[in-house]
Amino acid sequence: MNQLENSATETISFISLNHEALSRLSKEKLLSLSLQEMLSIQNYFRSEAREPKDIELETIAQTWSEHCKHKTFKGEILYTEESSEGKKEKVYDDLLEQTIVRATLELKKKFCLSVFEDNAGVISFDKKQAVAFKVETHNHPSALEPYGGAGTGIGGVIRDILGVGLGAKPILNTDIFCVGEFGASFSRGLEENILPPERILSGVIAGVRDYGNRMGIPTTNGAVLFHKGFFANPLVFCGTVGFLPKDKVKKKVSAGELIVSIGGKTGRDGIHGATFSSLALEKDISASVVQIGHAIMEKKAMEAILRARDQNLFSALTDCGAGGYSSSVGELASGCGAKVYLENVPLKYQGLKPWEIWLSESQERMVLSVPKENLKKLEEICLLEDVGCSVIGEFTDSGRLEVFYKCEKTCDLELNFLHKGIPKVRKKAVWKIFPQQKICEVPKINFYKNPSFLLKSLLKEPNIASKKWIIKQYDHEVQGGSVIKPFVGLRQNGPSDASVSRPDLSSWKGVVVSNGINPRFGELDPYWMAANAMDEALRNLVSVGGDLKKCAILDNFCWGDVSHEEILGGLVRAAQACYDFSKIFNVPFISGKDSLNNTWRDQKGEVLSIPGTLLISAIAIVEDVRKCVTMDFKKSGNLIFLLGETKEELGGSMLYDLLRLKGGEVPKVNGKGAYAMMQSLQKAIQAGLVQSCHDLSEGGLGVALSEMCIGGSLGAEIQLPSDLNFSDVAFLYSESSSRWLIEVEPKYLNRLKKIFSSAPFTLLGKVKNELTLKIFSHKKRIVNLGVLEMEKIWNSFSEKQ
Amino acid sequence: MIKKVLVEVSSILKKNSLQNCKKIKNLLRASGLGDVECNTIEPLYGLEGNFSLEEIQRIAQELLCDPIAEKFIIDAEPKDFKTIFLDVWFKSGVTDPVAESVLKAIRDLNIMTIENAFFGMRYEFEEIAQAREKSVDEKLIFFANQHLLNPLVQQCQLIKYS
Repeated sequence: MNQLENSATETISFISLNHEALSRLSKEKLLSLSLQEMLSIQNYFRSEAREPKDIELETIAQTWSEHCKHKTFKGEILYTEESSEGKKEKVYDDLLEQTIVRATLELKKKFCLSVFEDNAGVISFDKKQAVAFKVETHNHPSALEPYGGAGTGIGGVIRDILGVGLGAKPILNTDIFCVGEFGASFSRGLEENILPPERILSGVIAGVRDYGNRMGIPTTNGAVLFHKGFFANPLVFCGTVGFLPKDKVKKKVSAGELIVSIGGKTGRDGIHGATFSSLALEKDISASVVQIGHAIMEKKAMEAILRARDQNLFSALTDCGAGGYSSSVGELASGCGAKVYLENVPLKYQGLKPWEIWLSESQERMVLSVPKENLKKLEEICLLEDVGCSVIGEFTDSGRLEVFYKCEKTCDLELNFLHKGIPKVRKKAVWKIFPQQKICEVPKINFYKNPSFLLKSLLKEPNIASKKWIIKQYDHEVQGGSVIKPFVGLRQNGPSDASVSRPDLSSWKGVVVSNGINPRFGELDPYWMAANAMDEALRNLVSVGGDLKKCAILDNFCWGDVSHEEILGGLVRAAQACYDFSKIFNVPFISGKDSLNNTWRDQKGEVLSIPGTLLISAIAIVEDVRKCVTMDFKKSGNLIFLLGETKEELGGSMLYDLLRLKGGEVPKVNGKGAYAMMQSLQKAIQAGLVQSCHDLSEGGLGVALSEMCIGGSLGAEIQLPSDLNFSDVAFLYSESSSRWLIEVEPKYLNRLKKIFSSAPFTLLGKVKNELTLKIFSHKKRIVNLGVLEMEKIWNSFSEKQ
Repeated sequence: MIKKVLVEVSSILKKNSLQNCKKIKNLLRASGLGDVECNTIEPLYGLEGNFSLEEIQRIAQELLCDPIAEKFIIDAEPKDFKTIFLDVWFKSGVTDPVAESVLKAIRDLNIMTIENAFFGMRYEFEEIAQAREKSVDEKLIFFANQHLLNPLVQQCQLIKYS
């Protein structure tokens, strides 16, 4: 390497380097590029007969990062499935295209307005309006600095929504956090730089709260999961729904338009964030990869953008996320070209090198393509909203990305090479299916000796217990459109299945948002984990009255070390399940994201992977929010039905987790049957025949019944079916998929029977005024618990925080 | 010249501060600092510039604290040998959104002499059993790095009685 005199950039001796030197350079400069990728870059610069500059290598590294290019998902994978019957092989040329995108293309849903092409997926809301939905992760930054990492996670996804089409107004947030088990730090010992799960979660909660609340966006939906596998690598999923006019869904950049940056100034924040996201969490990570967000700045930028959008002042925009300007300008210019003048970028402080300005991930910045004649009006709006507005360059028709700093050309890359020159990654994936994985007996517990013990124990399990202490920190009401919020019932203490909001307060039409996630199932079989996550997201959505015909889903894969063939095998299986069940449920994917290589190094130096985790987020339109139902019991005397079939499926269940049992049968999803039941349930809810509805998930029937009693401040008397061919314990705590509890007024019984004539539909008992949950089996009372006592136990984990 | 304005919460909000102090007390005990008490946790604002005392008083009164529920002290010092202040600040270069908002609000008050603002937290500790030793300072800094701040983006400073 040599430093040119008087130059702000460094020219790298590159084109004559051997393989070893190329690999070393990639590591030293934190480029996270493989040898194959470095060789492609070397060939490119050889063809240009020159050495690259530091800013050019950094730009390529950011653009080709796993975070931006999804190299594994879009790479070639040779998948081998090994079982007692032999080996089966399948080659995926592009896993994403052949599974998730393929399902969407085959389903051809007209209500999908923009899929897999913009910052978020967009579906139709009504004749004039559309809704956009995006869910992102911010895992590594949250592990290192939970407050800043999570805050910028939600800030980033809000900017994705602001940057979709010509800008959408954020109307609600959804957040799912996966963290290590509390108290685990004391037994495991703490590696330097690794924060205990308690500190990670409290920081993450505060970060999301401070950003979302200050932005004036309600947080209406979410979940928190505890699992030892997330000990030092939490998963922080942040999602935002936006609302935009249909004529603002598409964007188009034209040569000659100005590149305008709106929002915050640029500092050294988050440099190498995109490449960092592809690395294992280890010691000695630079503070520069972590950012602290500034919600008020983003709020001002949001107001300016929405005003400018309504006055048609720009023709395209995107957010400055991973890779900073290099990524945002590079993306917008991909079909034309761009010239950028870095000295025009407003800086927080002096002393930044050109490549740092270009790659900085300072938050709260948006890049717009503005026709010259509109600049003055845009500047006036920004002045009014007190937000920075700077012209940093111009779009061209050169097909090249040219970056200047004080008259010196610091970067000159062919955009076609930048976006399409990346060599395809080739990997092998293996999955082994052996019968012994499935065998595990239901525990021989003397359930009758202490009949309520298991239920009480489950209710205080962190994964099931109330998350009141978290939920109450979030604003659910701001904007005035929230209909069904995280807590429902007379005393607002029942956990809702999904959220319902009205983005347009002059209409009764609403948006339903739900999610499905269960990493414990993934430890047994990622295929069925994915199927269950989709089933859970959709059954939650249908529980409140969401319309499956106007429903779309998002995928967020968080996986461990995918250089490990079996871990990658799990990812392939999960992606294949996404295709299979998207088709069966007739619900398209509209957007998604993957975060791979979620690993950390323990004290012994061993690299540990998180359990492969898939979050499915669902969004649907509901024609009339007044017909939506909640999960709390409503009236004494009403009948309680179990909809769906219960099997002895306890693998990955909370009961097994409680009893520290491994293995077991992971719940299988009967897709066609589940889809038919969802349609029937939707019909019954629309007809007003269902008074309350709750899906069965963690803790199964026993926990769902308890939650409905708590939410309704009513009791229930239940008789378990007498013809079970497995134990009452299994029936009460099995986590079989596609099941709901519904409350029905006796007068509607016949109408309901007709609707559910071909579905498993079992009368379990009645709602009671007496504040007790009584469960009988063969006329013997096996559970007798006071509702207030259950509520106290269920709240106990939250009260301790 | 940097002057620090300490915003001390009044009795209504002290309840929250006391709850947090109790949590820290438990952590201190678990960390082998059972002889150290945490008395208060208060927001701390650092202001930098060529300002007058009147300007700082106006900023503190009109901007940094609610005069009904809170009071402020300028450049407070530990009252005795047993008292130690531990101030936590963002490291240089880390975005400090509260400070940025404060600076903007100071400009809105038409005070142009403040050039920089910083936002932090002040923990007031007290040694209850023995005379302060140097090792306590080191232990407190270690404790702070473990529980009160994230060394990746924050740093702390001990202020002793002089």
